[in-house]
This record gives sequence, C-alpha cells and structure tokens, in this order.
Amino acid sequence: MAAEKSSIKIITLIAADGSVFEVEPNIVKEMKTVQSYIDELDQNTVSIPLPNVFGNDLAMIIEYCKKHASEEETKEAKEEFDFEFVKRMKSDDKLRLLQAASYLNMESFLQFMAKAIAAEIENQSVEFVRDYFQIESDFTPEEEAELRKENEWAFK
Amino acid sequence: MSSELISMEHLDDGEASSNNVDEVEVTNTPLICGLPDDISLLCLARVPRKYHSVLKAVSKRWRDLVCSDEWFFYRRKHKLDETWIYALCRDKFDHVCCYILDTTSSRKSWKLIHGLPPHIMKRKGMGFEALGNKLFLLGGCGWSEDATDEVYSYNASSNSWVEAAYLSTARCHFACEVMDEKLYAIGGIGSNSSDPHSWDTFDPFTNSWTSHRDPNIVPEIEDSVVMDGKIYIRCGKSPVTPHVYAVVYEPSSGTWQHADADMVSGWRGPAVVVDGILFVLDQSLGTRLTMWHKERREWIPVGKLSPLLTRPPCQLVAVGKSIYVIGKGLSTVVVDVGDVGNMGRVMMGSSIPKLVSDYNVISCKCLSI
Repeated sequence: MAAEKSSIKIITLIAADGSVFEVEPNIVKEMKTVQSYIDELDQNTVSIPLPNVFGNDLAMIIEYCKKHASEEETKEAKEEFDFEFVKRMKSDDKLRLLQAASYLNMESFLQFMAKAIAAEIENQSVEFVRDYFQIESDFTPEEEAELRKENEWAFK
Repeated sequence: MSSELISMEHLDDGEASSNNVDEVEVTNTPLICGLPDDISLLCLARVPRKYHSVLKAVSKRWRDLVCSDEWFFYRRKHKLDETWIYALCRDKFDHVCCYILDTTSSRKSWKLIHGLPPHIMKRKGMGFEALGNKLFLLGGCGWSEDATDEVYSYNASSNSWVEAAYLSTARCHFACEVMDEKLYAIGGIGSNSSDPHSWDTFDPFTNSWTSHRDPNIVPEIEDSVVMDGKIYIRCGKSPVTPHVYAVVYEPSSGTWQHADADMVSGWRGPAVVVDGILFVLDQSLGTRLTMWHKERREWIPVGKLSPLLTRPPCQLVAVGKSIYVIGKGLSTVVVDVGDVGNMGRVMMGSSIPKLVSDYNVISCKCLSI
C-alpha cells in the first residue's frame, strides 16, 4: 500500500472554474482535504476536483506551498516571500484565500491568512469591518449609539 | 421566563432549536459568512486588543464572542493576550477613580474608566485586584460608614460594572491578592462582629467566598505580595511588635507563618515580583529600586530612579520584565529589569506623562486579554 502511494508522481487538481493544475505530491502535503482523497485511492495517477476553490486562488496557494515546501530556500527568503505575498493580495483575495485554506484544511496557510485578515481589519472602522465581511448590524439605534460612545472612548 | 422567549423567537424563524438557550449556540448565522466559526475565531482573536471595541460594535454575535470566556481563554492559550494596567486613584475631591494604560500602545497615555458605582467613590481602604478578565473592588469603609462586605467587579471585556458576590467578612484596609486563580481578602479592619484574625478566598468558578481563620493574621496590614506561590503580608507596627514583620501563607499547609526576617527588613516600600525576584522601591531618600537576592539572602541596590520623573508616593506593577513605577498624577516611569547586571547606576527608562491633576495612586493591577 505504502509503496503504491509513493509511486504517485503527479497529482492533478481541478479548480471550480475547470482550470487544471499538475503538482508534485509534496506540494499538496499540507492540504489535508486533498491528502485524505489521495489516501482513499490506490492509483498511480490521481485527479482531484476542488469545487470550492477558484483557479486564481489555487494558483496562489500552490505558489505559496511550493515556496514553503522547498528545502533550498532559506528562512529569510521564505519570510520575504510571505511579506510580498500579502502585499500582492487585494482585500477580497484575502477572504477568498482564507475560505480556500479552510476548505483545503491547511494548517500553516490558515494561520498565515488569519494573520493577514487580522491585519486587514485592525485600525479600521466598524463600517469597514461590516462591509468587508458583509455583516448587517442587528443592534438597536440605542445600542449603536452606546457602542459608538465606547469606541470613541477606546480611541481617545 | 426570558430564556423561553428566546427559544420561541427562534422557533418562529423556522430554525431548528434545541433546549439550549444560549443565543450564540442557537443562532445559525456564522460569525463570518462562508467560514466555520472556529476559523473566524482564529482570525478575529489575532486583532490587537485596542481594536476589540470595534469588533464588539459589528454585530451582537461578534460582541458576544469578544466578551466571551472562549475569546479570553483562546487569546491566553495562544499567547495573544495583551496587558493593560489599571490604576485605582484618589482625585482632588477625595473620590476614587480608575484609570487605564495600554502598555502595547506606541503613544501611551492614561485614560479614565467611566461607570464606577457612585456610592463607592468615597470609600477608603477598598481592596483592588484583577482576576481573569475582571477587576474587583472589595470592601472598604467611609467616615460615616462601617466596613462593608460589598464587592463590585468591572468586566474589562464588556466595559461594565456589576455587583459581585459579597465577601464572607466585612473588611477595610486589608490585603488583597490573586493566587492560583483565586482571590484572597486578608485581615484588615472589620466591623465589630467580624473576626480580626480571618481571611476569605473567592473561587470564580463557584462564584462564592469561603472564610478561614488563623491567629497569625492581624488587622494592621501595610502591604502584600505574591512570590513563589506564597502570599507575603507586611504587618503594621504595634506596641507588641515595634519592628517590621511579615507573615507568609503556605497554600500546601493552609497556614500562616512568620516570614524570613532578613527578607522583610528590606521591604520598606511598594513591592513587585518579576520572574520570582522581589523588587522594592525605597522612597525614603529619592527613589531607589532594590532587589532581594534569595541565594545570598541580602538586599541589593538595583538603581536610582531619576528624581525628575518619579513622583512619590509610587506604586509598582510589572508587565513582562518591565517595572512600571507609577506616582502622583499617574506620572509613570518604565524600568526594564531583564538585565539587572547594570547595578547601582541611575536607570534610564521610558516615561509616560502625568495627568493634569495630582491624583494619588492607591493601587495598580495588570489585566491581560
């Protein structure tokens, strides 16, 4: 069984929009969702549909995984890459990538994205945060006024 | 009655409702659309404490999350918690007030906390402690008011004051400490009926006080500190004991014993423990920081603080390896004692400007969320 699995050379990931990515097994090691799929099959080649992840996002995630799976890259180079990676993402990308990381069950990428999202919403207004996550306020006008007052105090 | 109403409302919404009346559990709306709640918590808990008031204002579910124990324990477990200092002061009208300092902020300044119950503002000798995400104001007395057993707590997450479980014994000018997640109220002056040799402990999980008694506890208490899992109490001078002495509580035996006299001899001012080392601010001639060297069993001068910045009488509190020396008008000097090798020199540290008024600082505590 173990020998068969190690013989898998290429894994094909199919994104929601039909775009196809061929990657080496070590790249998907962190994607627990994909990994459990592979474990169930005993074929030499596998193709895995990922209906919750778009091609653009999957391309970014694979890029991240490649960099972090590489043994030649130094710690500093990886940190530099992370920094640039976050800078490159637009606000909405971050939320979608976080959802993808959650779906793919990728622990360290999840942590990475969680930090990015937290940084995105810190120092922002209540309206920005609501808008960003598409949350409607369910407070009464009185409660709103009270919370606004507390916020003014918090940033005095 | 009200809990039944909540269930009813949710049934009307056509939602599957169990007998669980906890609104957070009953509601099906996720914290963030398209994400499991544990992933949302993973993100939101990483937002610095300063912005929690923004998160609380987003929606009821977010408010409940930020004020929840789950939030508090998650941040603590993942070392995301940030410490703010709370200072109990007395203003020029002799009223008690409470100020707060965000130690992580780049522009540090003290800020007044509102909503202190008005009738306790004139009390003296109240206990002041922080436990979990709450501050406690305990007991105290007034010039026309006998010692009280009342306790008020301030929830730092929800920014609100409530009445808490009463002390077992009415107390005033007593020692108040936190050890092993329990609150201790020790000695002090009680009412006529109360036992002068007693102490009370509060367990937040049962929300109740238990009373204990020991003949070594005396009413005259000057200061207290927790070190190496023991509570030390410096007792006041009396005709029977003209010298300074201290008692120490051993949780293993549950008894109070007399503390090491050599250690107590140098405990002449406000004290704080950093990494198991006891530091004391001697304010008799300028302000000098000293430390108790356990192995050598002697007091060692650490350094003299700039007289331009420290304004005694001061209170001490520690955040990490930094000691905050907080004096009149909340003028604050921060001294890093991570490297106590530089002894005997005037220590440089950052300082935080004082308030306009010359408030006296009664006590300072740290609270991390």
